[in-house]
Amino acid sequence: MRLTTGERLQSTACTTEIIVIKGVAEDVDLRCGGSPMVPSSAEGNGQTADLSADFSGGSLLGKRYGLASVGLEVLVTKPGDGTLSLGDEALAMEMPRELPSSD
Amino acid sequence: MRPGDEPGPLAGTRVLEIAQGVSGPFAGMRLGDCGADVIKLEPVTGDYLRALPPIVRGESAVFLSLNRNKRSVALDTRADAGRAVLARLVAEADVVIEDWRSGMLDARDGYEAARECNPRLVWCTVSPFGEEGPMCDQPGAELVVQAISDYTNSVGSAGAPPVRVGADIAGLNTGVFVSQAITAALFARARSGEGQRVSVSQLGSLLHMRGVMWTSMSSPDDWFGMFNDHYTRDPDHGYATADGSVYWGLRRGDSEDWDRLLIELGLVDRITDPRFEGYGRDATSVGRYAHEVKSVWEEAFAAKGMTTAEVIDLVLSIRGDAVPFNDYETLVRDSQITHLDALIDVPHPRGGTFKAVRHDAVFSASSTRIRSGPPLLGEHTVPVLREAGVSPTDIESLINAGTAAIPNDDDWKGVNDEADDGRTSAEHGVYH
Repeated sequence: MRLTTGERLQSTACTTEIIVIKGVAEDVDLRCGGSPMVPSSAEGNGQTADLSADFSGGSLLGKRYGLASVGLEVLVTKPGDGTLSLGDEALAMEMPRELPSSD
Repeated sequence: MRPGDEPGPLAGTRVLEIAQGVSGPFAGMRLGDCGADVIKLEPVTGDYLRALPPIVRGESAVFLSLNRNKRSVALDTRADAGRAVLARLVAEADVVIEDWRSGMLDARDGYEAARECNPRLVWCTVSPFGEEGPMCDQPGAELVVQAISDYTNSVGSAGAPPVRVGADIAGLNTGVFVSQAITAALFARARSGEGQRVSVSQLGSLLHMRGVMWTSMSSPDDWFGMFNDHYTRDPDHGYATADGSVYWGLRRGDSEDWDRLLIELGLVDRITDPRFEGYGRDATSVGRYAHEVKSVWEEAFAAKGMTTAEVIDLVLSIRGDAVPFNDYETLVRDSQITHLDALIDVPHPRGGTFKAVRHDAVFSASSTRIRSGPPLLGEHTVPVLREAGVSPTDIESLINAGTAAIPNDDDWKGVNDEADDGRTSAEHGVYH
């Protein structure tokens, strides 16, 4: 699937929800808990897949995850038990960026 | 010595304040707060400010707010005998603050004469527009100086007429500048042994207060901050909350602080809005788009029913700035204000107390305590003239001739007197 900046997705294997901060033009296989993520729906989280034991590291609220080689960056808006990944490659949790103080 | 009883940093300095209104008296009060012995020389009719409303128990609140820690001498310097007394007072002063509007001496020639007998004298002249130039002899007033200095364009609405700043910024800021200039001149005197004359104008003070503006406007197209904020934006009344308004902005913190704020407020979709780029720097406070997106924040607060306190808690948790927009009622109850004990009770010259602001500087080894409330007109005429070597007989003659004055009512006695032995002025025999 193509990921558009601002698009919101949810996990099918846990409660994780994200928003795409930096999208990518090519098709990618964004997963959570080992299963493909799907566009968020107003009906809420539809957990239809089992959480993979190999992708159960969890996602943290307010943390950004990304894969520099692809240029993808997402923000977790609802945490869950699944690990975010592109295919089998887990996304790295980013460290917060210190911002210049203006006073 | 009890804590707070330490001498002020300017203890031992004698200041003769020959000024009326706001600037000179405010400077005199600041020096008095710092321990200087400030003698306020008034015409026998009193500083004109004494009659300015609002009136608190028969005294002008404006006068009360500008004249604590002083002694009042009422003297007619148009009379020869009055001028002779003035010369004595000047000869013994470390500092003279004079405002040519007082009409009590010749400002330009006065210093040269004073210097002959008191070369260590620091003489500060306060004027509306400066002592040279086409406006040097024009009278000034608060709005006049605000207008000519461009200050009135800082408030009001875009495209609307200029608006006077509510506070007396020309008068009060000039008072701060005057006290700083005098302190610097005293420091120079400590090195050289020589006094000097220093001139401070209200116009110069306000131009200086706008210093950032002049530099920034040299290339206004490249600058969006205070330029837009001051000139093209509506007055900032804060962000509306469920129970009032709040000012807030982001100037510190990291990227996760910003992300969490958007998540907490249900605004995470705004993260891709170009106006919200820059982790809130452009979307809050004086940021480039802050005014444009103000309603977005207010709608988010409203959707969650957030009170001012709740918004403040949230913003502080992400290391932002957040304070309530206080009015007088909330100001006096504000926990920071009360903790600092910033608003204090000052003795009223006719008994009781009134609220005033404590001196702002806190010295580690010196006191800025209120030693006396604002004086009644001529309350210290007798003791000050006695200190200057004028005999009791001559003082009585001056009073009888109307050249000097003392309070004309009885309820003042002892109210402001804080003699070490606890006796009142009358008991000291200085008032009869």
